[in-house]
Order: sequence, then structure tokens, then C-alpha cells
Amino acid sequence: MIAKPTPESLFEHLKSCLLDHARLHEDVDTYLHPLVHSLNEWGLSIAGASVVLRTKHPQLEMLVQRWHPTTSKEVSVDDVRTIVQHYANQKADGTTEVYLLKHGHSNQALYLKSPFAAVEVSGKAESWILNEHMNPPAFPIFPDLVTRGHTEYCVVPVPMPAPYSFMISLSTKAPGGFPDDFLETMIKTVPYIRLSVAHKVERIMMTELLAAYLGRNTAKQVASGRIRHGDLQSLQAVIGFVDLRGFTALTERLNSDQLLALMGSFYSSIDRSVTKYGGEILKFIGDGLLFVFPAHEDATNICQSAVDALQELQMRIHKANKKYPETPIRYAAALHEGHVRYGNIGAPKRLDFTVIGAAVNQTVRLQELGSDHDLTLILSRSVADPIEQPTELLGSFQLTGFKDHLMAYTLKGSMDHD
Amino acid sequence: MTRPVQNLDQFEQHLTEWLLDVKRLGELPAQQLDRFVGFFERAGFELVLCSSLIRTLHPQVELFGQRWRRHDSESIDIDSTGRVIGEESFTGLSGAIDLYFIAHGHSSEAMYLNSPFGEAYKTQQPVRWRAEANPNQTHYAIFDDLLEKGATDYFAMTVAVPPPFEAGISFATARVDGFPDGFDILMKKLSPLLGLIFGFNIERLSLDAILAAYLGKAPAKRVLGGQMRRGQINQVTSVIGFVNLHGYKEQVGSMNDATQNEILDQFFRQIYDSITPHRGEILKFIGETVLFIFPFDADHGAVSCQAALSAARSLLNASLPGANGQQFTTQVALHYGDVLSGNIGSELRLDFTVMGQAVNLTARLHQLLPKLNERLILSAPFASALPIPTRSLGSHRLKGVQDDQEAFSLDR
Repeated sequence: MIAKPTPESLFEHLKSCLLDHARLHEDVDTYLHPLVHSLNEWGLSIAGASVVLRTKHPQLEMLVQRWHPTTSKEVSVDDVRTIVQHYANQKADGTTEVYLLKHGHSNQALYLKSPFAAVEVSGKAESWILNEHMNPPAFPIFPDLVTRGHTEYCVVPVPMPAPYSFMISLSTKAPGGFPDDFLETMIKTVPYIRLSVAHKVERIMMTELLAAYLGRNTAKQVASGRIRHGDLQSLQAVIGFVDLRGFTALTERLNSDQLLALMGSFYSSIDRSVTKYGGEILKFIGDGLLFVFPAHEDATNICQSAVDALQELQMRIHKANKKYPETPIRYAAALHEGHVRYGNIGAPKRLDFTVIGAAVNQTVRLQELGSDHDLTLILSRSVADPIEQPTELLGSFQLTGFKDHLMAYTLKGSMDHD
Repeated sequence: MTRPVQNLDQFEQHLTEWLLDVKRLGELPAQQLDRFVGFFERAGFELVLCSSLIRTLHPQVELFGQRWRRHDSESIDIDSTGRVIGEESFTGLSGAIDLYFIAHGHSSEAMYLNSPFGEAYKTQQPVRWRAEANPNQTHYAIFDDLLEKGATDYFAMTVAVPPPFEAGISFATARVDGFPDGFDILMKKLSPLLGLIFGFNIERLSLDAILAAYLGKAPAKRVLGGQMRRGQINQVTSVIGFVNLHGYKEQVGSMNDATQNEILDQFFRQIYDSITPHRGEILKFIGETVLFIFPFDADHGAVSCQAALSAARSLLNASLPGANGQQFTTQVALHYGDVLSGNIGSELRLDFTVMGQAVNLTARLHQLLPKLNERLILSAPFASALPIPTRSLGSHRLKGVQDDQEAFSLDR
């Protein structure tokens, strides 16, 4: 700890922290840790820090990282509707909460009444003293900060190249607030903050864009170059295929907003149901979806998980249809188990993550059969046998792609026989 | 009499200010190198070369190098052991810049490791060569070239960049006294800023390359341009094609994993190579079947269909050897029509897709091929758009399609 840091010495200290090679190797999600650490080394008692990043992502409007000491609790965000995803990255002395926020978040009161929104408008760094005498408090978040013992709060905008906008906030518990000329020091440090974070922002963007199309885990691996073209793993999996019944009729009957709303609702329901039980959406084929429940070490009964997921889907769709009876969703799904190879296939410049194997085509054929019979869910024997739910034999069929006759099943007592 | 170099401290200050400017991020690399060298030239360094190299283990991103040289000098041959897949030259204000991309592979590795950059990376020390001290010890080919250009002093160093990348930068001067004292200290001081700028530029290049690899070039461009919100669907008219590898399904049981990979790789590579020259794009891999599209110009429908047909011919005639000396063949279906194309999905998962009757029809026609014992099937609209004669395959009932559809193929 330094006895009395001067603005110049603090600036040099921050600069050397930001330019240190070690920063290059740190995870993008822990950007605030070294910054807060170096400020606290200088005795600043930083007790909170945030980063707000705006992007041009198809679904995300903003990424927010909030650092808090591990000893303190994070502010509750239960009532925030615009959170797409939230996870935490915990280190020894602090935790970073990461929020992915969807389009429209910047129109929410929570954001509009925040210091970030104010600085976005002014374009200038600003700091505020925090105490009980604020009347009215400049922002709704301030009284809570005062309760926690914070004494001063600042926001610093960091101009970034298109399409990004970036701001950083810091708050302190030091009795006298921030040291003299702190804001000026931070403004002077802005070009170094920008350079130190620019490549991380680009990497975050790549990961988030890929995550939207490949799923988060796969995306992280692809972004860091750990997955090579041709990396395929062999595994047993339950494969599912589901599509909308009467899609063509829907396209004629509904206007495009209604159609998109319906499809969005359908896909969201599938996504939630499938991921809840350990499955993964692989791809959209036409208006249909291909998904898998891979048999990894911790996945015990994938057939059970798959069927549970589809029962959940049925409940969700049923609920949605009750809510919007004018635009009912009707679907047909199939589950089949088999051996597949899953991974990175394609041509060197055009790659994909997917499953390959006879079981894929078989599942699609099975689904067609189910759809022909007006069934919401059809199962092959390999899925019907090991599950708890009672099943009923539909019949024995000769389908293209299957060597032998296929025994197909439905769930007993399902709503299929309406 | 050699010109004195500007005071190094002042020079460092100016250059640092320039490097810290937000305009450096997102600047075209060639333009940036041109301006960077401009500083050195104005300060009297008399450079004959300034070169940067960014290398990655990332499979989809190639090795990227840039070389600045004086306007009047010739470009230096890139060591031809590496597989050069792209070369461009750019005329800047201070000089000319040659850019090159080199594919991954053993030869590229060797090329890199046997260069001054490779040595700097291995030793983690700058590489320094002075013509006077060792004029005949030109253990790197580039020193020969530099001697011809009148170089007296050469300096190369690694620049720390975020993993999984590596980078280096080098300079050569023609000044009689070589680089001024303290040049290596100056470069060491500038190195962190250079590294962060390189880091951003290469992450941005990677983002472009990787997204294009997984989404296809056109969709990736739209996504990066911010034009692709969830639920944005456009109606377009496209040529639609399906292709599969005939016989693969039946033989896959007798192939081990490595062989399966090889066969599929070969197939997918062939598809990419056949359709890309005709502006085709792979949209989806559905198991071993691939869905692809071509742009359709309503005013020149025949041309659009001809282009797709040429691509299909290339696919049908391609040599796809199997493991046991057999030849695999492909089966192709082509159609054109209105499709809904866009970005659909849930909140967390998106996908590009084309939907609509036209896609369905093409898929169903493709499924007819084994039954008809044909390898190429064309829809009626597609066939009638072609200026060449076609042969009818009769009318067929297709699932999900209201009326019977007549299908066509080319004359035998």
C-alpha cells in the first residue's frame, strides 16, 4: 500500500498494469479483476466495478460485467426481463457477474435511470459523492450503495471503434471517496484501457456470435482454436426431429409478424425443454429442428431425459395455445437412438457442427411417419423400451433407410389421441 | 553524410500518441503499416523494409504477413516452401505494401521456424544483423535480398499478442551507421502497444474468417454488418440444390472412423470447390446430404440456372475415390423458387435457414433419384429456364406438394 498516491504515480501504475503481458492471457470474463486489484494496491478501496458493452449482435444489445468482492452479495436481478443469460466467474478476491441482455434493454427503466445512460448521453466521465444526504439521490441505485458503505461512484466512457460502445464504472468505500484528481487520472488512462480491452471485446463478440449459431460450449472452443476441422467424436445419442404441422397453411393464413411470433415461441419452447434435460439443438432444417441428447459420462438415461423433455415441450405448447387460441401450434416430433458421429465437418472454408450417421436420416423418416399418423410424439423401440412412461405399439413399418421393419411407439395416455 | 535521426525520446512520444488513438483500431492493416513507416521515414530512419507477421494455431485463420518496401524497390519473393494462398499489393504514401496469406501445414511451419521471426520466437530475443559485421554470413535468404537493397542493419523481434496468436515485426535500414543507439530499447517500449493493436486486428480478421466458415460468406457479412436480427426473414428467389454421396450409406458400416472422415471430407471439399466459382453457397450439412443455394437473377434466369447446372456437372463428374479403389458418385437435384431466408431461432440459439415450398420440392425430387435410377433431377421450372434440351422423367406425386410434379434430367 502506498502512503499517498499522486495522480501521476497512480497513472503510471495503472498503465503498467494494463500493458502487462499477463493481461493477454486472462479470460475475457475477468477483465475487471486486475484493474480493481491494481487500484486497491494503491489503497483506493474499490468495492464495485462494472463494464457496459454495446454491440451489434443479432440478439444481444448489451453485455454487462459487474465485479463485486466475494464477501459482498450481488444485487438481485430477479425482476429484470431482458436478461438472456447470466453467469458468474469467481476468483479469490472477487466475482464477476456477466449478463447478456437482449434488444430493448436500453429502453428499460432500470437502464434509463442508471448512471450509464446519463454518461452515454453526455459522453463525459463523471463522478458522484454518495451519502445519506442525497435528496433526491441522483440515481435509484445510489441509496443501496450508501447502505453498503460506498462513498463515491464514477462512470468513464471509453470511445471504441464501431460497432462498440464501452463504459466502465467504479465505486469506492474509502472514507474520503476517490483521491484528488481521480477522474482526470482515469480519463488520462482511457487510451490504455481501450487498447487493453479491444482484443477482448472482439473475442467476446466472436464467442457470442458463434454461441448463437453453435451453442456456447462449442463456440468457446472454436473461438480459441481448440477445435479442428475433422474433430469428430463417436457417441450414442438420442436424436430428435420436430417440425410444425401445417406450416404452409400457416404461412398463408398469418401475417409475417404473427408467423414469426409463433415460430419464435415454438423454437423457444423447444430450446428450453431440450436444454433443461441435457439436450442440445443442432440445427434448423426448413421449419424443423434437429436436436440431440448425447450420452456423455454424466448422462445416465438419455432416453428418459429425451422423453421427459418432450413431455415438457407438450406442456409448454399446450400452455401457449391456451394463451393464444387464434394461432395454435401443432407439431410432430420423433425420437430415435443410435450411434452417431458428432463434430466439426465440412470443407476447409465451410464448416459445420453436426451429427452424421444413419440414425439421423432414420429419425427424419420416423418423424414423417409420426406426422402422417397425426402424432405429436413417435418413438422407435430403442427409446420406448428403457423409459418409465408406459408406451403403446403403433405398428411395424418398413421405412426407407431402415434395414429391418421398424417398431414404432407412442406414449400411452398422451394427448395424441384427441 | 548520413542524416541525423530525430531525438528518440521525442519520436517515441509522437509514435505512442499515434498508437493510442482510437483510429488505430479497425484501420486496414496495410494502411496502418504505411502510416507507421511514414513516422520512421520522416524521422530519418531510411528504412528499406518493415515487415510484420502474425501466426496462429487457429485452424481457420491463416498465417498473415505484410511487408513494406520503398516505391521503387521490387517485392521480395516469399519463401516458396509455404503454401501461399493469397497475395496482394497496396500502394501507400510512404511506400508499397505486399500482403500475403499462407495456409497451415508442415511446409509453412518449416518456413516460419527457419526465418528470423522463428529465431526471435525460439530465443525470445531480438535478432540483429549488420551487413558490415558479417556480410557473407547471410544465413537467412532475406539478408541476401536486403544486401541488394543496400541495407546495413536489420532488427526483428517478437511482439506479445493474445493467444493463440504469435506475432513479430522487423525493420531494415540503409543508413550508413545502421540503426541509432537505443533503437532496440525504443522498440521494446513500443512493443506492448503494438501487440495490443495487432491483437485487435487479428481478432477482427479471425472473427470474419471463422464466422464465414460456420455461417457461409454472405450470411456472415450480414451478421457482422448488424443486419441480422432474430426473426429477420426475407423472401428471395433462389436456385436450390441438394446433393448426397451415393453409396456412402451402404458402405459406411465397413469403414473405420478415419476412412469415413476422409471420404466425407473429400465430398464436402468437392462440393465447395464445384459451387463456389459459380457463386453457390453451402447452406446446410444434413448428415451426408448438403443443401446449397445459388443467387437467382429474375432478369437472367437462364444464366442463373446455367451457372447452377455447371456446378452440378462438376459435382457429377468429380472423382471421389473410396478406400478400396471404388469410385463414389453424387446425386443432385436442382430447382428454383421463392424461399424465406433468414435468421430464426430461440433467444439463445439461432440458425440460418431457407424455408418454403420450393425447398421442400427440391428435397422431395432429390429423394426420387434412387428410385428413378438417375443422378441428376431438375424441376419443371428449372428445366424450362435452361436453353438446352432436357429429358422428361415423368410426373410424380411428391409428399407435401399438392399437384403432381413433372421432373426432368439432361439427355443421356
